[in-house]
Amino acid sequence: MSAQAGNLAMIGQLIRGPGAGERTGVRGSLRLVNAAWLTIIASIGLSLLSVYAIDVAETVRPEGVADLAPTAWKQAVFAIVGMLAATVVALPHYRIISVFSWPLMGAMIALLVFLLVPFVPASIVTPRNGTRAWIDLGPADFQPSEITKIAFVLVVAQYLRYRTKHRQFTGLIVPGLIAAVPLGLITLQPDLGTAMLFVPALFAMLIAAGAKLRHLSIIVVCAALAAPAAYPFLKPHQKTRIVAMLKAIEGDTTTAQDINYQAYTAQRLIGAGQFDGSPAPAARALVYYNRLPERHNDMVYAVIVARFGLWGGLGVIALYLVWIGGALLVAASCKEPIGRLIAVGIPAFIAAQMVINVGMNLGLVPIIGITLPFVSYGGSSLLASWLMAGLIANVALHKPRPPFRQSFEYPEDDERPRLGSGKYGRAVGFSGRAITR
Amino acid sequence: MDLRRLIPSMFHRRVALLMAMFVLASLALTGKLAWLTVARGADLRAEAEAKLVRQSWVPTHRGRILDRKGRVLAHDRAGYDVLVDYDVLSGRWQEREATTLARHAYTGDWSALSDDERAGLVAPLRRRLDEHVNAMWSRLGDELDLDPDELRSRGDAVVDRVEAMHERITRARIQREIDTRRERGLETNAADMRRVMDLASQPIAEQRQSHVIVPGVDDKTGFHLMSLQAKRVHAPGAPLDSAEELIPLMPGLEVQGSTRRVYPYDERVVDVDLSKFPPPLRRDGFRSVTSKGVAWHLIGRMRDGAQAEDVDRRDTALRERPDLRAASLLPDGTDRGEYFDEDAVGVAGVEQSLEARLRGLRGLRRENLLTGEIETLEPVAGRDAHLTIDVELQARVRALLDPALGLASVQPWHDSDGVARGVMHFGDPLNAAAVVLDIKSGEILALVSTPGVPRDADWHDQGFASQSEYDEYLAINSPYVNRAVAKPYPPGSIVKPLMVCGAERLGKLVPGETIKCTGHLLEDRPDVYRCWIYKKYGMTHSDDGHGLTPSEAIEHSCNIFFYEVGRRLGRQGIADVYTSFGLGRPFHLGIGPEFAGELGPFNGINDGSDLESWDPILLGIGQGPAAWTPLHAADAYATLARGGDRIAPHLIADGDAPIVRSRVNIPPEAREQALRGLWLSANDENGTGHAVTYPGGRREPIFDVPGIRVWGKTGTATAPDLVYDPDGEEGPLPPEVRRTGDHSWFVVLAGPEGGEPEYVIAVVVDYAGSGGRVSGPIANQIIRALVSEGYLPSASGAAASEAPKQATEPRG
Repeated sequence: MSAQAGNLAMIGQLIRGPGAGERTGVRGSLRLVNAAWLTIIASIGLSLLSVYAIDVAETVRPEGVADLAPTAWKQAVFAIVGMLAATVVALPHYRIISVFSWPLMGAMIALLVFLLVPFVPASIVTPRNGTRAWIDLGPADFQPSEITKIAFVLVVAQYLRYRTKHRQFTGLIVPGLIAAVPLGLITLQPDLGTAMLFVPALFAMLIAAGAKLRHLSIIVVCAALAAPAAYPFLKPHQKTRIVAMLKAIEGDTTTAQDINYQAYTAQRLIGAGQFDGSPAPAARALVYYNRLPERHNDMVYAVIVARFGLWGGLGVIALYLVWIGGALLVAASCKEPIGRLIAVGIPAFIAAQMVINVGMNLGLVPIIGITLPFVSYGGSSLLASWLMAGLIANVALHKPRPPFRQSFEYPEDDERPRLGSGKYGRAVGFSGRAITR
Repeated sequence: MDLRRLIPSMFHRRVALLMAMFVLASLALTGKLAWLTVARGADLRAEAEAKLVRQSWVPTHRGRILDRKGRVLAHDRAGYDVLVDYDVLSGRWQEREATTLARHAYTGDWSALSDDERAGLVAPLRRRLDEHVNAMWSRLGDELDLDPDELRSRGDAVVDRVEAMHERITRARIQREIDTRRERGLETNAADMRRVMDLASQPIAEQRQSHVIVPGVDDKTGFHLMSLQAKRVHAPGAPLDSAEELIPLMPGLEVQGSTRRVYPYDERVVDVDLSKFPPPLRRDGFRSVTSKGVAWHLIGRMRDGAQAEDVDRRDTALRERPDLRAASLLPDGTDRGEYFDEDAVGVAGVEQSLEARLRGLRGLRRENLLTGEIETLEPVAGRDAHLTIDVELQARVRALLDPALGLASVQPWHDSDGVARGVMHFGDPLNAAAVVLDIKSGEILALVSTPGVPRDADWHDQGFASQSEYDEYLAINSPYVNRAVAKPYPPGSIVKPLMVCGAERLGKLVPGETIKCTGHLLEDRPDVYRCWIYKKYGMTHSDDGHGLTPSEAIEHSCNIFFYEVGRRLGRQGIADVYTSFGLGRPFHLGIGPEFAGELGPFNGINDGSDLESWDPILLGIGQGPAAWTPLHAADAYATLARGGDRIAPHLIADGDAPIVRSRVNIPPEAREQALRGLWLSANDENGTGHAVTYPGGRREPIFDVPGIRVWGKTGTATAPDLVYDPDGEEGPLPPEVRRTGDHSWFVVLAGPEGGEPEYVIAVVVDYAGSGGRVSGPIANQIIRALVSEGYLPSASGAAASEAPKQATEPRG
């Protein structure tokens, strides 16, 4: 009982921060003891796991040879670069960063448009599997859609911070439009998977910002009902994936050699991990000779389970729980709207990616090209993930600067609109802006 | 519990909601993860580990086929095929290479040149490259000891064939596309048409492959050519130091390992001693006769590429034979003898019937890629098949039936109805079958059917001018039918000794009984059921008033005697006699289709119940509704010679099925009469099978091999005309009679002088006329062949050396 109380006290401490109000110098403006450390620790754990898993996925070699696969080396380097970038991002106050949110978004949209421009030489934009998502930067390729995620979180946070319009149904239109632009451009690459991630991120931020759950539910229900109508507009390979998924649910194993090859192979390797996995050489051989496609990339989770078994698989999920939990604790401890939304939007992206990617590996979600944050091979992806961790740390570190206003606190989650109260029923003036409560 | 009181801040409640959603999603993932790793873990692990094992098949060898003396009739030979790439054969490579070289050599801007200017630069190089390819042909010719022009023309033939095929396929593709468009109601404009044509004229697989120019070269040549294959030389017109401008010394040459089925005794040269031939054909010395496809009808052949029917046959065999199943199937149900697309399959004769056994079983090599462990299941070579035939004897018999020697072609002394009716002409080849059977064992020593089938030859190779000419030849001569076992023949008079045995057994002929020859069976009808002597000379066999004993009746082949016997036997009785001697039973020799023999309508019922009441009379002399094969005749005579012990004739010495032995009850007295009749027929001055009068009045005995005792019976069996309708039944031209007259039979028992019969020889010649005149001399020469091959004793040591030994060396 006392331990529980202690825990609660610790969580309270994390949420509230050490005694507010004392602002003596830089030290005083920072909260060094904060929940973001959970996120950072989980990020480091996942990055280390990533380097090892990619090495397992990439090479079959006799035991005792301690040379990492080139891709694993690359990933390690990216992880270090990512950590440095995260440190840089964590330093300036997020309010300062948020000033640049719209320009950053503008730049990203420009890059996304550039990717779609035909006749760009293949040496600059090299399509992979038919997708124009990468810009060739020499030593590494840059994937603008990864950074767009961060820009999107910043922009939506910036937009929603002092508004209450999103508490009305029509007020959801503008945030929807903000999401629609990157979503549309990324869909055209075509990278439907990444594009779809913007939806749960937006929803999470809207929920956090106090949008009415009723409105959001209506949208979800309508989208679910309309989804089958969208099927004819899908590309053939996308249709195939959905058909494959349905076949897999039916238990049709005849597709194991074609449309469901990737899914079945991943599940086979996951199952092969059993409780405690296989020794490294065996795991390497299993992964290699089962010819798991994208094994260092989208399917790296299957490699981890093949190596470390059920416990490894649970460990990965647990690390993400720590990551998300840490980030959301940061959100909870932040008193200022933009920080709150950043600390909700970012874990929403990470959580959505993790759920979809692991779901893909386990055969719960159709195979769409979604990477596992921190773990899948890829510079842009890893850098973006670490930048996200950096932003969480940033929000956690910096105490809100006055003047700020604790926002998104409404008496009723979903109160009925009161007749005659009017849109501006109780206006409170602040910084020249009207805020309805 | 009031959530709002517990967490007063709405934002915190919302954050908690988001966390809860994420935890829920994670729980779902955890659930599936646990299900896969725990519930299905073992299965999936096994599945995944199965991929660590690399399986590869180890090829096996097909079993050999050997004759009774261990001569190899068929075996697999490893060798090499020499192939040349299609692009080189068609000149495309030369053109491409010349263009590349010209472009590289040109210092200016190639793309600025006009087509004509480019062609001008390419042409000289193209000529040089053509010379280079010609040099390859010459070199290949030297290496293979073949004429380079011959090689080049083989290449040209490939190009002609493939281009024709391409044209046909292109046309079919265009047609199909047009049809599809029409079905869908699409308009087709000129641009569409051009696109369709472009698509349709895409190269076919044959245009991208290499083609065999010389098959089956030996290891040494194969290796040497392989070493040449990799050599590069400087391209014409290229600077000497340029490493890029190298071209192959032998452009497009490829050497591939191949296993070929070889039939060493398929083509034989036999020297036949003409000095012992009938007088008009008699010459001093020997004549060499080359026979192709000597045992083709028995051994069969192979087809490259398994088809659905082969797979079905294998499945049936596996289902029906537990022993084969046990040997062939791996624990996981994989068949080690499974057909793969490129497998060679036996499709006729012994190659087909013993396919499962000759084929062998592949070995399996399993390598565990993780541990490096290698587990090998050795291949099981196909089991050899031993035949009872003596291939040298077979070749000799086959040579004797070669129309070129004159024994099996229409001759003036044959008394041919066909010639009399103007349908056939002197010198026309006659089709025939001959069987030599060992009486003691029931083993078939030779089984020949002519015309033969040359192996791997199409009509073009066989000297036919056109496909239709070949079709006509096939329709009239049916070379693919094995006459010795698969063609129905009316038995004719050769059944007469069998009738004696059957009638005495059934009590229809009393020992010592005689029957008078009255010329015609029915007293008031001198125009039906006549004896041959009455029909021909107006005489009877009993002009001296004496009745004929059974042996005299056989000697003279008296029809009246056997009409009477047939009448006494009746429908059931006559059927009993025929079937007891084997009619109605196939032999299951394992060499393909067989005719089982039929009595009455061709309905499989042979118990006499479907015979007309008058049928037994004609059946008594082997005419009427009865049909069997030369092997049936040989089998029946062997049974007679053994005194009633029947040993089913067989051709595969080590077959899986046991040899069927049974007993026909032949009264010893009847056997005595029958054999005496057969002896008289062949040896007595008045016997029908004793002598032939040749043109010029020279009369010579048919059988003249010294030291050999012969029992024999002629048969001249009325046969329906062979009618050929050149333009089919629908066409306006009337059908033409192409062969007419009687089938000529002779069945001989032969043994050493003073001994018992040891071999049966049955000969039948289609539409040849008199049994004694046509088949008799052939049977005599077969006896000579038996002596030459050591089966019958030669009268003197000199006789044995008559046939030069080198005559029987395998050729090819």
